[in-house]
Amino acid sequence: MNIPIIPMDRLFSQRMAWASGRLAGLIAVATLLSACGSNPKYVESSGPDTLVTQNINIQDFSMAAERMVNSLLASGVLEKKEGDEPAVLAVSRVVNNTGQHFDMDLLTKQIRVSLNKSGKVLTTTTLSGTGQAEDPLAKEMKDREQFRTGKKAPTPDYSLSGKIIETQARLNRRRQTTYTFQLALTDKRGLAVWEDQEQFTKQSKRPAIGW
Amino acid sequence: MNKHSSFLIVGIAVVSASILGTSCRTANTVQRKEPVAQHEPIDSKRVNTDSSLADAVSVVGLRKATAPGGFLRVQLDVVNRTSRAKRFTYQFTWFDEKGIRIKQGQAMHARIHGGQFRSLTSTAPTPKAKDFRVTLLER
Repeated sequence: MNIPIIPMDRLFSQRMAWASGRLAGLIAVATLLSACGSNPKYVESSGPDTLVTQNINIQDFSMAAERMVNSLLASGVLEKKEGDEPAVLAVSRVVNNTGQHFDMDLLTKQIRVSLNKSGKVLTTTTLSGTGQAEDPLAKEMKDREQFRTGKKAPTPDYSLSGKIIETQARLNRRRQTTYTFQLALTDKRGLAVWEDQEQFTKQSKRPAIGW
Repeated sequence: MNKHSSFLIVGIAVVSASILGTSCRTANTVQRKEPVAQHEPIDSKRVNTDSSLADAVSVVGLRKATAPGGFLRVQLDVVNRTSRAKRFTYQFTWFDEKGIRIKQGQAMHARIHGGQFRSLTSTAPTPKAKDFRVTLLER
């Protein structure tokens, strides 16, 4: 059997070509992988490009707040106050009954801002469901004004309270989470003059391999 | 045709049928023949740049009402003219009488089945809002 004899210099150049080809391939793959990433960019918080995850997201609060305000304004409840003065609203407790920690102002502040901009409601910051003033300085100013004039500050016409509930279900590799936002507006008589709830259900599928 | 080929063809047919069966679930609807609701339709101007979305979320009606306190309420009636479900977002933007933007609403996520009708409603954020624009986007 004849074994081909390859000269050393040719063998060396072949190996060099193979090694440089492999290196070029690795560089190309690395370049492609690094090109898959992207720099941070701004997206509109109320727009359609926000990330959707199984957990509660900023858009869930925004969608709930918007639908609740829509429902409240359309109900006409706030029009029943006599005179042109806007109604005074105090924010009571909104309970977080989910397994996640978040600031409840993500919901209540958006509702307050929207109602304030509607021109139908003013919110007091000296009275809250926790028993402590949201703005202690404003409460002191109000107390001093009351002492000076002898006139009592107007009491709130309405109290806003609510709850956020999380329920989960699993079937095979599918996971479903429902977030229920419940809100009630109670008047001075202690009657809930408006109530509504919004539900957002999210489903995801666990991959067959991994988590 | 050998045995392996016939198994392969049957397998492909079963998989294709199951895929088609799950993705082409369409909605049947029933409603009053002569609706009693008094419509206040709005003449609309439409700019369609996504023809597939325009088929899947086809606007068939645009009506308005006024809520107590003078808040404008708008309803967009859409129908999915295809046999496939579609995910989309809709977003209302509100303008005052001078055409200045007052508020851009939250983009709402929605899903519509093949053949399904849906009504998308929104209430103006203030009585000063006199005009609106709705943007539909494929998700």
